Amino acid sequence: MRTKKWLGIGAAILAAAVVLSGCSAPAGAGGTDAAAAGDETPQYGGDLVVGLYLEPLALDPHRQGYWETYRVTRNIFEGLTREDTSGATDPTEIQPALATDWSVSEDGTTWTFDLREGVTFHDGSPFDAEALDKNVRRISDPTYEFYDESSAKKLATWFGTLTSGTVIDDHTYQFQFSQPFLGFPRILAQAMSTLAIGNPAVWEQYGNDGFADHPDGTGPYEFVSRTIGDRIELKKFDGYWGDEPYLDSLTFRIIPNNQTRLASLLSGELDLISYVQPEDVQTLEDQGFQVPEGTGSSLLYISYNFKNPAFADEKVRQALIYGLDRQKLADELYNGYAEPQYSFQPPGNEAFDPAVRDFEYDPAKAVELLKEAGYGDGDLKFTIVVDVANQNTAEWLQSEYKEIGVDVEIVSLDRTSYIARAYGPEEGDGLSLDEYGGTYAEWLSQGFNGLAGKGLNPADFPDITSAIQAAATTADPDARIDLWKTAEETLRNDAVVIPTVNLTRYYALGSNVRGFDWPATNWYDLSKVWLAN
Amino acid sequence: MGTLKHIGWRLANILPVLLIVSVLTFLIGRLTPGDPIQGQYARTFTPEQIEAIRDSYGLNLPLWQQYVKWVADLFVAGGGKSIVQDAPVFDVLWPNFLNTIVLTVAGVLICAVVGITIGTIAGANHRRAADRFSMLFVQVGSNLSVYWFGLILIWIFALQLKWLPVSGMQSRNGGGFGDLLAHLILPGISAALISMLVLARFTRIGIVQESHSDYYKTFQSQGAGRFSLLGKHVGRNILPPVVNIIGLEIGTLLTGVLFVESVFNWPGIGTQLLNAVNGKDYPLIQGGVVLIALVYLVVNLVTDIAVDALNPRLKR
Repeated sequence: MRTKKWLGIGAAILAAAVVLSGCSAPAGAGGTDAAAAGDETPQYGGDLVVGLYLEPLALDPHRQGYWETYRVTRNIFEGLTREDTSGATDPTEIQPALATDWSVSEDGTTWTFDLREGVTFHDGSPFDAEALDKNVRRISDPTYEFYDESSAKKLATWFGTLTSGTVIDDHTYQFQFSQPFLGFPRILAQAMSTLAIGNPAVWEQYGNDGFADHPDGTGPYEFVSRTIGDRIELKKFDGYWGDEPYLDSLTFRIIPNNQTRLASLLSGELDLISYVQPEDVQTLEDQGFQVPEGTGSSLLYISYNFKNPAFADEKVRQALIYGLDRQKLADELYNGYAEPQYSFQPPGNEAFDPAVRDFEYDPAKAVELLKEAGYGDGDLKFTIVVDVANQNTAEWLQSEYKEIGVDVEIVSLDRTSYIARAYGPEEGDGLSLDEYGGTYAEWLSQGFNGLAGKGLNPADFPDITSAIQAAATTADPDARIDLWKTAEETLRNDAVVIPTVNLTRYYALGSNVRGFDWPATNWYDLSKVWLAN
Repeated sequence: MGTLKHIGWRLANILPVLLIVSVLTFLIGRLTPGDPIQGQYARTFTPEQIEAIRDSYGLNLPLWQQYVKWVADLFVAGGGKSIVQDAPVFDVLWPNFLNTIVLTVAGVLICAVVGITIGTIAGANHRRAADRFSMLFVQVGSNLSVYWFGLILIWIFALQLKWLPVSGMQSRNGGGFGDLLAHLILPGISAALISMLVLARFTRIGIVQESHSDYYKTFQSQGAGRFSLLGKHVGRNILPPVVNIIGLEIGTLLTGVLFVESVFNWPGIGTQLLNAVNGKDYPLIQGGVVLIALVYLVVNLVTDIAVDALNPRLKR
């Protein structure tokens, strides 16, 4: 008895300490904004410490996955093209990187790239058409000694229709596809399943598996060391062909725990973190940290389990869109740090149209459609399967759907079990939640592939598949974007997915970090970042 | 000779235990839902593409073949290739494993020093204020969650007082032994907390019991001082059980360390395994669990030997 009493008192003291902490936080200047940076002269030098929320995958240009990986590797490797990461262009402009110019044949199948001269890899060996060819062969030519099967399968998304790559001369290279591929230059600027350029001399020396231990590219920073679970260190590459970056070195620390990552930024151990939680934005700004507003081209979306017979009826799918107040979701659950979305193409995508609407909030209409489909109040029951990180979203949806008479049960799982269940659903499963997106119009076909993985049979939606096919393989550059918009419209009208929100706060920076832009891409450019005193 | 034979026998016993651990870890990994390739690529790849990638990692082979290959890999291929990192498992685990050992050793030291101190103070002052106060501390502490306790320590000592760093084992441009020690304090205390309090209790009870024994009263009646009694007689008598408890607690502490690592982002094997479980990286999970099991068994063995050596009654 006495023990319990003392425990209660101890707990009360600690609880009081926690509450007080909230009150005693110093009232900051409300965030140092980037405008102040305009008056200052950029300074060279210093080390920027970045807190990543996820352990990056292999530092290999062809095997890499996850945006957090690319936020590291894009400093080491470059592609033939890149996107304007200043945030000044929407959609992001495609700029020359390792290629200075490119052109496509009349039929849209043959791309010719002029390669930049005078570029060297970090070990000093030259980047030329020969080096590019070895990169292409590594992911496409089984007769090449260093053909890498797992890379090839991953890059098959975009390079599956590549029939040949040809060295024209030292600094000219040609890609031949079996069908028109006008989206190619933007695809080359992406993070995953694409052809960032690695140094072939390194995989020839260390083998395909050994490359990631000695990552070597042409980027502004070169690899120094990596301790998995702890940090990755890069230093400025003196032989870089482009503008000299400001920072001497970059340190990426891997801190998956949200509270620890936040505390490490607050204590000054970090300069930049990603995946800021909506509830932490105010704390950070109050203490003088920058939490820039912006929009990455990604989208939180809800997919249906097409193996559940209830969703074969279009009316049911529509009803669940009509029944969802996305503005309220953004305001209530994300503290207003999110924007409602109505298109499967995310903001920042080259084929995004902010004006389009799917089935806007109309609970009465939702109830009516459900009735037409044969479901009275409480008749329709299913589960919503989520990653534990999204459990509060699921709870919010549960109460929202209760209002249109739909009974939702929440199944909250750890990440891997979630993926397994969402992509191998059980009979009674209904909805699941994902986040993804990109600036390239072809994202739509990737997103549709993902829905197919969740049980949607593409043969049931020939209008969508043919619209996507038409857009992906058009040879008419003037029609391309419109075709993708048509494909998105077709997909939207068939109600095969529920777009929800896009987050508008994602990164947080120390008060002395300058030159950080948040572009529409899901990564940032650290070569323009500098530290004020 | 008997001792050596005993040690040999115990060593031989480790192998079958490891075999069972390896089979169980392997099966738990494969038979629970989730798949490393799907986890990474399901959102955008076609099901055919995912199958092709699974093939390239040998994940479509029959289970027994995968198991045999993995066991062989443990000896010749560095524990197999991590699916998420595309690198040999032991290369990935080894630096982190050493970090975990560093934190565990720090935890054990804190546990032993603070635990025995609290226990001795309480025991020597049985039923007096110092005893009551120590035991209150022990009671409250034993019921704290290690995770939560760690966050509170961070809030007080790193964010408010700014005495100590929040995370990792190295400051910006840092390095050196002093820097490491500064990073060790908070995670070390968090990891040691529970075991330290268990040890305090046992030490206290040991001292209290000994001070009720006949020899204690005899010496006392002959005018021996409290401190000389404690040091010369009580201390020696309670040493074997205390060592035994410390040995047992190393296991508990090691488990605690795995949680503490996540809170303080200590780059150890716990952080590593957490990531591996999140990515369902089978070879990494299996390699890590086998490594921890091995440490556990070795620590138990060493403790047993030490306790035997300290106990004159068991000298054969």
